[in-house]
Amino acid sequence: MRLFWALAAFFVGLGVVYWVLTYEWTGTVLLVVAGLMPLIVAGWATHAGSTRTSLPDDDPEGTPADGAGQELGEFPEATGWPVFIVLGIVLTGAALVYGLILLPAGIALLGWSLVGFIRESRH
Amino acid sequence: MAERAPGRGGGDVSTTVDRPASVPAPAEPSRPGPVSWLTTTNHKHIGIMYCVTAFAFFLIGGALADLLRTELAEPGRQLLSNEAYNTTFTIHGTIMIFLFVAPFGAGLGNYLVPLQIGAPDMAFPRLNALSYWTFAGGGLLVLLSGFAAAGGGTATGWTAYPPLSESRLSPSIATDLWIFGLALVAMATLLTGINILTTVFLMRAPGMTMWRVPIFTWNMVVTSILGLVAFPPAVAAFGLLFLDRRVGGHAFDPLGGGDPVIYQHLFWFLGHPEVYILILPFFGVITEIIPVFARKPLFGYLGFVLATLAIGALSVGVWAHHMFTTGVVDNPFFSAMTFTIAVPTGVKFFNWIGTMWGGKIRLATPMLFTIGFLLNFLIGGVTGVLLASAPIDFQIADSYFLVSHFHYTMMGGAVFGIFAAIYFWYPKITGTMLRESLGRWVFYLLFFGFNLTFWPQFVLGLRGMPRRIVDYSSGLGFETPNLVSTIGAGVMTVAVLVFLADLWISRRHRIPAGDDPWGGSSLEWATTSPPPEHNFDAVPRIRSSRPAFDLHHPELEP
Repeated sequence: MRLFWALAAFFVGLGVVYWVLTYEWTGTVLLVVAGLMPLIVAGWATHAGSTRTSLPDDDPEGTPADGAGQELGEFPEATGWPVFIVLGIVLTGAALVYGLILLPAGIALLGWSLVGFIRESRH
Repeated sequence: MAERAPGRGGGDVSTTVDRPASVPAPAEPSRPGPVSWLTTTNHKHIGIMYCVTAFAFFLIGGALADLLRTELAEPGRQLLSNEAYNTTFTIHGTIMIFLFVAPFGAGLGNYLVPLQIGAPDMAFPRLNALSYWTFAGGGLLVLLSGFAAAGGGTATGWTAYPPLSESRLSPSIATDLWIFGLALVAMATLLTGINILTTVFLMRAPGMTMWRVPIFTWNMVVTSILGLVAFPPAVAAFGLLFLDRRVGGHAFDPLGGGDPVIYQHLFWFLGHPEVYILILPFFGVITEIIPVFARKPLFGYLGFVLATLAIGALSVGVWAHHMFTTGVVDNPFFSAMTFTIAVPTGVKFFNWIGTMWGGKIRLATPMLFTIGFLLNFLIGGVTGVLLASAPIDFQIADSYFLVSHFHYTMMGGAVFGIFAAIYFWYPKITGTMLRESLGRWVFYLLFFGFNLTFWPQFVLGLRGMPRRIVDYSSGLGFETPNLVSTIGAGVMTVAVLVFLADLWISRRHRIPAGDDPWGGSSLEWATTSPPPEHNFDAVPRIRSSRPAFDLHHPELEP
């Protein structure tokens, strides 16, 4: 958590230094945006940390028994959808490269497999 | 189909039984068929698929390298046409960087991170499957862009600088396929990064505090953060390049008022963190291996983690040292940042040597590769410091000195780390050992062949041979080093063949490994080999950063 605050501060700070030294736009924007991204994680972690009691994971004296009953979720079933999603993406991309005639097929495959992937995650 | 790597069956979907893998957690691990490999969400299976696929790409990329070295063996033309040579080095570079070393690290991370922190699986198993298949699809497109595209393969170099990569000068659709394939690979890296970060932050076993997490896992955390920071700008660059090529944009085309240097900024903002994405997992690997074979705890855990974090943070601020010779970047700034990054790397060398110092070292195959890593990477790192000095860089930029420098870091470093990892964790993954005697042969051949190949290239670079040329004149002092270098490439090829023979023999005649053949210290050595579906039947008590060692030697527990 503090790691991400530190990263954000470092990148933004570096961005400012870089701007002062060079007045070059591309690098400055890259560095500052790279600094803003960890803020999302850091902000969430600070928020979640303030409302939640600590995990047994972070207790140096924690024993496996402390974790008992902790809900980690369940194993998902095997899924074939990722293969079709990627085939859909590849076909869509191939349409952009080879000719737009492939585009409807690519988008249809991608849409169908995405819907399948999302529906499967619901049960 | 390179993604149908050996050992995973044909992957013929239509003829096999329907959904054998959807049976909930069979008590006895059945031998997985092709459909279950296609549909798996288990982090161990996905990790193995990543590693096997990446290694198959290594074999392809290595064969291309042999072609290049054969062409360069002596003056005059041997095998390849101009265009074929350009395509060959483009695809060689792209494969080795984006499709071999980085995914191999991701595969090891997939396999080991949940085991090392005592988690039953990754945080998002389905996302994990998606990222593997995205990588495989992207890799396939990159291969196609080299071999199977009408109008010739892509020949822009792995950096694809405009204006060369603009459609005026590279009209073949191969370059579009290449762009699209790399965008997919980038997406896979992002998904894996999110997955690993979430897993490490939220799924550690009780007692596994962040300051007890093994160094390999720490390095995967930093790698993942770097991936999340570095890949989006590159995807933006590739996207703009695609628009330039297909829709008539002028983002990077100077004839239309665009600025090709912006592409270089965006690309190297990926490119430099990318080399740390490549090497950090293998820093982690050898940091796991050295304490085990020196039979001492790691010297300076905290310093090591902080050094890794420092490398990660600094690596984002050094990108334009690849652009010194453009004349439009702030050379002192990037020189200073690059010198600074050598400091935490030096701290790591200090830690590694401190760990070995006074230890009772066992020179098993993983340790041999680790020592090879240290020697080669040191040379790679020191020549990197030379190149970071802008006045020196002006002399030797884009010469064979540079080629040799990055092969010493990427191949002498990362690839030796990969072989160390294979020999170290193969018993954990399969429950059987690889042959020690053959492993030593692989090491000695690879180490000897590697230095024979790349040391002469330093000489070539200093004598002025530029990279990316298909031919050279005699009488410039280029002949002997080139010939020696080509012979070295042959020796390395033999080493890889011996390794494949080792794999084949070890699969035919299995030597059971037991759960902990090396006396390992991190948590994966506390479970069975291979680990069960849910990784741990019982997670041991964790009181230090070496839980498996504490478990096996309760008398020494603090």
